[in-house]
Amino acid sequence: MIDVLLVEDDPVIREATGMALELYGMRVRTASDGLGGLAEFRARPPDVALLDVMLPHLDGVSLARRIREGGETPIIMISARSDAIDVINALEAGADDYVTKPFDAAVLHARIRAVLRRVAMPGQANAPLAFGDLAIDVESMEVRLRGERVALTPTELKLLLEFAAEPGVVLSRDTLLNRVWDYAWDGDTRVVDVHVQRLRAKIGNDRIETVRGFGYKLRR
Amino acid sequence: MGLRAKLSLVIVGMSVLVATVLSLLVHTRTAVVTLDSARRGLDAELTSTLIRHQEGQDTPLAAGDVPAPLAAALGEGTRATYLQDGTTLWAATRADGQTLSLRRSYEAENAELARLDRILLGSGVAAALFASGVGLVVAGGLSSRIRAVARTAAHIAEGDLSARVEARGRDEIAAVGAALDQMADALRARLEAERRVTADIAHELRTPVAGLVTAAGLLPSGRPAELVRDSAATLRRLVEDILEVARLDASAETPVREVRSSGALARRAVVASGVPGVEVVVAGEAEVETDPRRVERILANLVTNAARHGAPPVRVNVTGFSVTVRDHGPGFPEPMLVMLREHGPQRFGTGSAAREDGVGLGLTIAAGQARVLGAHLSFANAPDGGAIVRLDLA
Repeated sequence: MIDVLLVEDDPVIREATGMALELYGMRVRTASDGLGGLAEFRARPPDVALLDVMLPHLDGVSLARRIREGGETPIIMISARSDAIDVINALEAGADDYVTKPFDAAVLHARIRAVLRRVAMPGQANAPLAFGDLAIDVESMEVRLRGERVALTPTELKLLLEFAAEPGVVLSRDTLLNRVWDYAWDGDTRVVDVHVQRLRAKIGNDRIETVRGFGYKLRR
Repeated sequence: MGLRAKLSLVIVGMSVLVATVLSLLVHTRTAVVTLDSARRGLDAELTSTLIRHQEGQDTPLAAGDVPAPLAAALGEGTRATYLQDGTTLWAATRADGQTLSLRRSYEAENAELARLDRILLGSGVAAALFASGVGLVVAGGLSSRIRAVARTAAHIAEGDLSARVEARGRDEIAAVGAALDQMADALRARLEAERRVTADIAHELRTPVAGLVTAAGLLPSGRPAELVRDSAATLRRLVEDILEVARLDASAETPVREVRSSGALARRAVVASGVPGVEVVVAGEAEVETDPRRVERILANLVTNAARHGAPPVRVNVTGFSVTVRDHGPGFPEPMLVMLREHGPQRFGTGSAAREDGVGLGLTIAAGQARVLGAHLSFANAPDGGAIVRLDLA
């Protein structure tokens, strides 16, 4: 059973969302503020954390950062704010996806399934891949840069694997949204941009090129 | 007639008038003075000639007939002078019943006066030309400054709240410019405050609407639950639309451009609109570098609008860079079409009774997104009925 931690201060959304996700067969634990959420997380890390951005005591973005420091648990931010700065802040703190209130329970469920699919990703190719001093061992899901292990979240790893499957080919933001995040077409392209930035910070800035007007590509 | 032309004409007229009056005065006065001194000179000559004549010397003094007016003016022992036909100057006296006279040509004086007239005319024309030149420059400066103020006011009226006159100087026109700038500042601050309040309200509404939408989804199925869910969905759409309009009004939106084919954009927008039975006819596709999400948003709004207010079939035509959405309903009401063409879409179409449920924010959002993209939206009615909205992407 999928274990979900929902940190949300609005009681109606908290209870209704919890009930809706339980109807989808998930186990839902809830907390009403950031510190409570962190305590609940530390007591037992869930399969996925759903964090509201504006929370009392410890805000959602800081909470995401704390969770990310301790591991690779998938994080989905839920927020009533959808301005560029809010979305980017939340994603840069380490969130895997961003859902704007109000949302359909079905959509939230789909987002959770999508992020969990990345964690349980089956190997796409068995042979280890190498791009210069960057080595990707798909089987053990390990990425090494100059021999050093690089810690990637499942989303970052999936993104890198999409690039690695077609080195030198330009992948549009929509293609990446579709392949990595499972958005049919309505996702927010800023999710892609922030993740590419994060990936670049971990594996070297010049490895993923921006092709203006088209998207991104991995240097061969 | 423009201010510049009017002012220039007045200045030219005034300078011609002043030059004419001055010339006339100078001419008349000079003619009088010249004649006076010529008369006095000839009179003195007559007196001295008369003495020499009485001494028996040979003189140019003539005896006999003089012009009648001169003869009439003469008495016994008196002297008189007379200018005949403006060309001959006479001086005469009568002594012992005999009229003695002296005359000379007045042509030298006439030539001198003619020369003076030429000088007066020349300098008058020169002064008038100079004055009108200066007048044109001054009037031109004034009128171009006033025009600049008018242009700025028009820009502000069209919604460009960053337009400013920034007039220099301390005259009345600069004051009008400064007042206009001040008005634009106040207007902008006020609109910005209003926009922020709208955005804040919409943001605040998102949380309870989210609770409502999620809770409504949990209701056991049935007609009442359906009604609640429909209302919650409408409320949610409205809040999102208001937020989008507020964001567009803030003009802080930047497009994320990617290259797409216009046909694919149109097809995806029709799917996104969720309106069934919309036919997409692609006559020719073009590769466009644009923000695909915004284009889809525009087209989906147009399709939804056509389905809601027009009548089926709704058809989307793609020809290169332009996409048209038309329905087969009654078309835009004439006053609304005029309004759309002159001012763009009005929010909620307040005041138009023609479309009973209002136009909502769909067209406002479409127009706002088009503005962000630098694309053009135009409105028309088909001759055989139905509203046509055309989006030109490049």
